Amino acid sequence: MGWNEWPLMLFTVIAQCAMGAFWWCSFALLAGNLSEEQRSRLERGMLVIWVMMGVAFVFSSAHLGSPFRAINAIFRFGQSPLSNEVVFGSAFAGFGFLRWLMVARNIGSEAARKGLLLLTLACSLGFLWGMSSFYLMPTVPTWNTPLTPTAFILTALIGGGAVAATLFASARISEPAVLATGPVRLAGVALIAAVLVTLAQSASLPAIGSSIKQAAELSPDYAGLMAFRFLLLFAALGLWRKGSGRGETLAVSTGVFCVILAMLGEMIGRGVFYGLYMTVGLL
Amino acid sequence: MAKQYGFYIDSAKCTGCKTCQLACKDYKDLQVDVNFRRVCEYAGGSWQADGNTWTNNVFAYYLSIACNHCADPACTKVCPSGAMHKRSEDGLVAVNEEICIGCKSCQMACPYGAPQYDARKGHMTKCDGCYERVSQGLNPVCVDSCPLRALEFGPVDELRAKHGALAAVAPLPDAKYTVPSIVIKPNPKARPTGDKTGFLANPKEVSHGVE
Repeated sequence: MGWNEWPLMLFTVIAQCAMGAFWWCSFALLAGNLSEEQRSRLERGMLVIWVMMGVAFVFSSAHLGSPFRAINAIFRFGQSPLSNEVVFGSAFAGFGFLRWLMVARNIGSEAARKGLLLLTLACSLGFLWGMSSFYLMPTVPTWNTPLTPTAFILTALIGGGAVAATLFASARISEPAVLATGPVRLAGVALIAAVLVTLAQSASLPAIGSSIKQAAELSPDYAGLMAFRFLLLFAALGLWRKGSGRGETLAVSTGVFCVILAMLGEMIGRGVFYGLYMTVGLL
Repeated sequence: MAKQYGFYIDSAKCTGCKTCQLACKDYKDLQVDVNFRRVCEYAGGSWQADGNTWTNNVFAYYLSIACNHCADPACTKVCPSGAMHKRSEDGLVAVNEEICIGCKSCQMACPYGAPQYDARKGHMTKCDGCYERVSQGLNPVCVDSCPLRALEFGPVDELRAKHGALAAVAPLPDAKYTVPSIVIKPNPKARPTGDKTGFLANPKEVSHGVE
């Protein structure tokens, strides 16, 4: 496990879940045909997403040796993946929270809020792109694979889907079906995909090695940790599916519990990911 | 680029005494866990049956590696602040310690372990090729300290004309990744890059930080 990178384990998982939750909420606001009450409850509840982003950024700054200079991280916007990640991530959280404030204080026209929603959505994609491209370093063979961005997206769909389902439940959105059961269905598909990604990764590790390190030896407890991860994820999905099946609406408490299970599971997976760090050379 | 300085590393001469490493540590006043120059010991081999006799093919050799001031550095590409930069006047790669935020991205990207996090300072530090000494016509302190005269420093095209173009032997990565400005004279026992028959015999002396 890459415990030494714990700030990044927390940051990436929480931020990706916030992203996934935002995608679902945006979809509900743009195409969900919500009633006025549902819409206003959902808008209010979306504060959770921006709090998650705030917490994620606090953890990410714990990774820095000089957090008071964090602003310097944007100097190479357009050139360095980390700069792109920081700029788009801040814009995602900043515009999202700004829009939340506008709705809460009833400021701005409907069109302006919709424009801001689309802009925030675009920033979330930029954020995901920046975050993914950071890890695609040609000198780090265990990270430089399409499985890395795929795993990030799947975390957003599983954990973020659970957050969205909980927000929908608290906004008492039980119709249409695409909102009531869409997140759990998509998370189910994503979970199957995550199993396949894990199988593909474990199959690829024996072929990766340098004169000093063998990727397959970096995480000797790979199988056990991944089994524990999927135990948590399947438990989350099971509870979530059971709680929202047969026309029942998901209880908010069940939703929160599923979110915690899913995020813990994804954090274990991310810990394995950081533990697989190696370079093509001496480290 | 006006000039590209680099190191010549004679792995045939090097005895692994680590005077270079300590001279650097002293001159740069480095913490215990920070070593801009590190001496890798790559070792391996075993016994082989040849009829009724057993012979060994045991090998061990040393490579003194600091920053290779690569032509295509991995560290500068990932740096979000621009603190990690390649100097236009001499091609040396240095970190601006006034700007660096200590995100350690350069450390993750560099396959030679050159950028190192100094916890006391809260930012990255690394071999800067002693560019201040070089600008006065002096050698980097490691080069002058070597009792075997196994290290040289100079414009890398001159080093290549004199010593050849080899820039990678095991356990160093293939030179294609970052195009290091180094020339290696291989030890007679040297294994080609990518070799899997040996191991790093002194991992605690070479690895740091991201371990």
